[in-house]
Amino acid sequence: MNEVGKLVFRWMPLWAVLLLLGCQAAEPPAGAPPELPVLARPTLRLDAAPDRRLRIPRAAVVRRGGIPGVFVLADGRARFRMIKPGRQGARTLDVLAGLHGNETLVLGGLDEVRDGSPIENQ
Amino acid sequence: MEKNDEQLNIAGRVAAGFVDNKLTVLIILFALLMGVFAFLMTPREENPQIVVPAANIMVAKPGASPEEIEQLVVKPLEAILQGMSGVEHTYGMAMDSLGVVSVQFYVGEDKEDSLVKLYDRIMSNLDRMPPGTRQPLIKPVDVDDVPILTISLSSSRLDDMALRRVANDVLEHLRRVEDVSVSFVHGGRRRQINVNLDLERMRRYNVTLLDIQKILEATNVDTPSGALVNKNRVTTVKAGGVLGDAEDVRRLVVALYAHRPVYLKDVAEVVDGPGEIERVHRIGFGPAFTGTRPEDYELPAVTLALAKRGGTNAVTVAEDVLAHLERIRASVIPEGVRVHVTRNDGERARDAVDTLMEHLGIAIATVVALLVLFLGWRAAGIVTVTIPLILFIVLAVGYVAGQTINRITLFALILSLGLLVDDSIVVIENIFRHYTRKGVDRLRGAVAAVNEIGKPTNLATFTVILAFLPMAWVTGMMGPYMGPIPFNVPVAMLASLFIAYTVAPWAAYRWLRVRGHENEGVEHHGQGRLERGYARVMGKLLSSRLSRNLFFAGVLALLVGVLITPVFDLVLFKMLPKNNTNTFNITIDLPEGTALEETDRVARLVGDVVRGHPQVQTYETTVGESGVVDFNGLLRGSGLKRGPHIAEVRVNLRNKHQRRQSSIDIVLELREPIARVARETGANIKLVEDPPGPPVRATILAELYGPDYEQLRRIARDLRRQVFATTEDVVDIDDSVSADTQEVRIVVDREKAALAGILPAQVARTLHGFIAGYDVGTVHLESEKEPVPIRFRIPVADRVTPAGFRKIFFTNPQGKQVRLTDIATIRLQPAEKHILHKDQRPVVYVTGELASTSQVYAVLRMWNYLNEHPLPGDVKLKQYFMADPDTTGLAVRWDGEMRLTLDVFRDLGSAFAVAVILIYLVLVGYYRSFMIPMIVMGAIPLTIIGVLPGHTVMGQYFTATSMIGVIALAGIVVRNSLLLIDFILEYRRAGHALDEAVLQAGLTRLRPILLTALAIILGTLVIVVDPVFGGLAVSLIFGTFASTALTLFVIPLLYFVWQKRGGAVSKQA
Repeated sequence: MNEVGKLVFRWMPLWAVLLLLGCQAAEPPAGAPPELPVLARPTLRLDAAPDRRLRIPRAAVVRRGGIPGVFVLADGRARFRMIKPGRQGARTLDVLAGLHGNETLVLGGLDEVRDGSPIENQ
Repeated sequence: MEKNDEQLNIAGRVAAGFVDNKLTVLIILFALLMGVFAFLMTPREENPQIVVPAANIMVAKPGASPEEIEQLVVKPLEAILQGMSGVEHTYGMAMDSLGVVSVQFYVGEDKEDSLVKLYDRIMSNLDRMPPGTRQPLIKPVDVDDVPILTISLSSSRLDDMALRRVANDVLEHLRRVEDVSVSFVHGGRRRQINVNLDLERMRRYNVTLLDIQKILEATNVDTPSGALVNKNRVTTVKAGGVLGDAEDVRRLVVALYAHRPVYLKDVAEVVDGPGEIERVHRIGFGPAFTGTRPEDYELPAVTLALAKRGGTNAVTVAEDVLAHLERIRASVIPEGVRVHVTRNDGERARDAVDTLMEHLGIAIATVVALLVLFLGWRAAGIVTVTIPLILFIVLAVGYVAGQTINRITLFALILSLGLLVDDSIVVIENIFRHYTRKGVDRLRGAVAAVNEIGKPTNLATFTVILAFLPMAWVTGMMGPYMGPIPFNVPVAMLASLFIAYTVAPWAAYRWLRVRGHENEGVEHHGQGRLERGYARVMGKLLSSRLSRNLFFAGVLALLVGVLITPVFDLVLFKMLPKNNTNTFNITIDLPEGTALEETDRVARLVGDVVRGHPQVQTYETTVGESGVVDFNGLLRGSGLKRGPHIAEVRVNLRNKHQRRQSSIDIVLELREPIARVARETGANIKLVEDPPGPPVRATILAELYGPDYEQLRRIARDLRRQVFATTEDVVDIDDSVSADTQEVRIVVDREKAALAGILPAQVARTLHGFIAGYDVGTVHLESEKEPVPIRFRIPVADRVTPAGFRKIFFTNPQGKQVRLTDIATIRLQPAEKHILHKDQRPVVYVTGELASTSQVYAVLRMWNYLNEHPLPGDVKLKQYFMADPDTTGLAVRWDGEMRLTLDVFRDLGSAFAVAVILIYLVLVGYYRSFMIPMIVMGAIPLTIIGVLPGHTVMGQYFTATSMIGVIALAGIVVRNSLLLIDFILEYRRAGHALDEAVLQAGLTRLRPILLTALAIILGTLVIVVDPVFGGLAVSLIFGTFASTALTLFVIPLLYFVWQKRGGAVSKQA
């Protein structure tokens, strides 16, 4: 074996490592999610007895992409929650499914509210 | 030339024919053209297509309980299918009013034949089905129908009905692209005319649902009524009163009340719009998403799914569809609708193939570099030219044979790379040796050289082929999955043999030069350090009996020591390790009876967890049904699941080339937070990774058999809690027992009903219409792409409690109103649970997955536990692995990946045994001796000395691919020792003494053997990091290393000892 050969074989593990490192490209930076503006909205804490019919104000109800829902306050943010609306009253709505009766709802001005909007209690 | 011809063997004759023939140039050109053609035309896919014909047979028998269905539908169906040839398994499921039997044929059975047979079988045995059952519905499960491309359309403005309409528009265009087969829109709501019945008003106007239905059906018709002929013209006549839109439906007169018409709008609210929400689809964006983000976390979405026609190229179909989408995008897709490709199997296939092509290139470059070092650049150049030729021939043969280019094909090529250069090397080297003799005729020298090594080269090549060939008989799904290996390697070996006898001598005749420096030919090395060292050690071993015995004892001890490492868990076994992929699935199951909205809430919580992971690009949430089915889901049967308690989140990760973290680790990281969500919500959430090989229902699948199904359900619960949950690393535990739910049962009092003049069937039909809804025809809208049904239903607000049923009434023939509650009682009772069968035996499944370790050890731990501890109630289970269980007592059979593992290792083990026997037989034929082949094959066990510690050192599992490596090694090392023995015999024939012949043969073959070994080791080095085929690489590298090092000593010494003892002084060929 000539000199070149010795060089190549002696450092074989090094070449292997370099090869492996070469295959691993750097990760591109992640796109940051858009910062949503903080919205001041009134909220309502539900406190329904478990066996009673759950009734919420109609002002809390929105439709997003054809899906009826409410915004539930969680960790200072409004989070969309899908509901199944039942009978409607003049100002209220029965909720058949989707809420447990212990949530805090965001009321009014829901058009600007997004899933994930930070909410300041008004 | 002529005078030599009689003495030439096949190799020599072929070489003589081609060495100075224009045909050789044509062969080269032809191979090149065919290769390029095949390379471009062969369909590419990620994994080999596995054909498993299967079908679901659904038979409804309304009103029957699961037990009845089991007895009357499932069992007769199973009996009908029992006698059919080609059926591997039947899975039965008896539900309320419905029985489903899934038939799974053997892997590789012809799809069309099987289905025709199945139809024939069912149809000719219909008389055996009990009366009252509906016509069976046979739905084939077709792998070709699995979408290769899914495109998600999402919008923050459009609702799901509008999105679906856009999607249908787009789909109509994309469907026209060539080779697209099944395509559908997943998600969104259809447009329909909702007729929300008002029970109060219906009672007031005395209108029943059946009345409305009758009138609507009689109105909504339009039929051609013939033609009129007048004045040489024909005019067609149409008659009827079709309903064109919601207004028409609204103005339908449904009854007369007080001599005034009652319109449908008087008793119902008619709304043109989407139906009730039964499914929800969304797309969410994770931190790795690079496009512009919506303001919401998740957007409503609709998914287009397209499959390709069988046998076509996924890469081109996907590219064509996407190119077409780009063209129509501006005109068909409205502003504000986002388009994301969420599954692209074409690109996945291309990516997998490209990556491996790159690896193949690296491997070729490494081997070429090695050749240049050992052979000098001219000889190496000739060998290098033969590599692409051989590969091209393999590709061309594969194309003709209908193979695809997939990962396994390319692994087979990389694997054979080290082997296929060998034949050319041997030929070139020998020609070189002849040319160094003074005054040799170049042409004759080349032919004579080929002729000389023809026989052993043929033999060596055939031993490799024989080693691989039995692998073609591996059964089950692993057979077609591994199929390209026993196909491509033998083809490559044959091609290399052919090229070595034709192109190699032709090129050597023209370009091989014997000159000063570069004649570092293998035969003409000086006595290097390597040789001197070998000679010293070998000389000592040959001369001293003690050291020889010590050496043998040492090797034997090493072998025994290595063989017991698995006992101490130093080498761990596994079927196949998980692969690093770009996607995985999360399935969410809430207890039966959970409302869609609650399931949606859990799905959003899961979405929150997923969105938090930095490597997540997008995720698609489907609530109310499973997502667009993939191959894994199709065979697991999860693609059919639907119901408000089901949800699925398909997570798409950042491309694996752009991240360091493997998907396996990502899933592992997500397991803990997902498990927290599961605990808090009571949901059963599983993280399903794409299996690297064939899919199984579950990694760990315990099938419980026994005489009493209710008891089996209890045992399943205990087994789940006491055994599965306590076993380390077992996650995603589930069972097939459905949750306890309540059902409302309306029992019609037959006597009261008869007295009131109402038939129970009337009650059942009306209730079905009110609660489930009824499609009564469609409105005739010409521009709609999907039918717009007219759907009757009580609005959801009135369907809250059974108390609402009090409003339902019927009208008897006397025109008197009869309340439902007058003739029937409403009861709340527990719902009956479904019953499962497998191969005609009632069964309950308990399933589990493994987070990171091998299932073999988890199953063995559970097996041991169950052997020692009875379950509560002193239940003792008899355990089975492969055999059919005895169902008279309680039994558990461990299926799932465990079974697949056992099957595969059994099959590969048999293949190995067959290969060894075949090689032995061929060698016996060649040497005309029983003993010499034994010595030659002594090299095979030596590979184990490298293989097992290799896995320990590399931290690799011993997998199915490792086993393939072991089989391949059998062929490779036999080749080495064969050439050694051949040279010894040669030297002895030339009259050398025994010890001299042994030593000289070893010295002569030392470098070529090392060259072959190094070519294999370096060629496969590139796949060591592959998670699936790493085992193969580890086996080959360490096995070759150990075996080569030891073969050089052990084989000549074994021969030496055998000869010295004078055993069999037979004449050697």
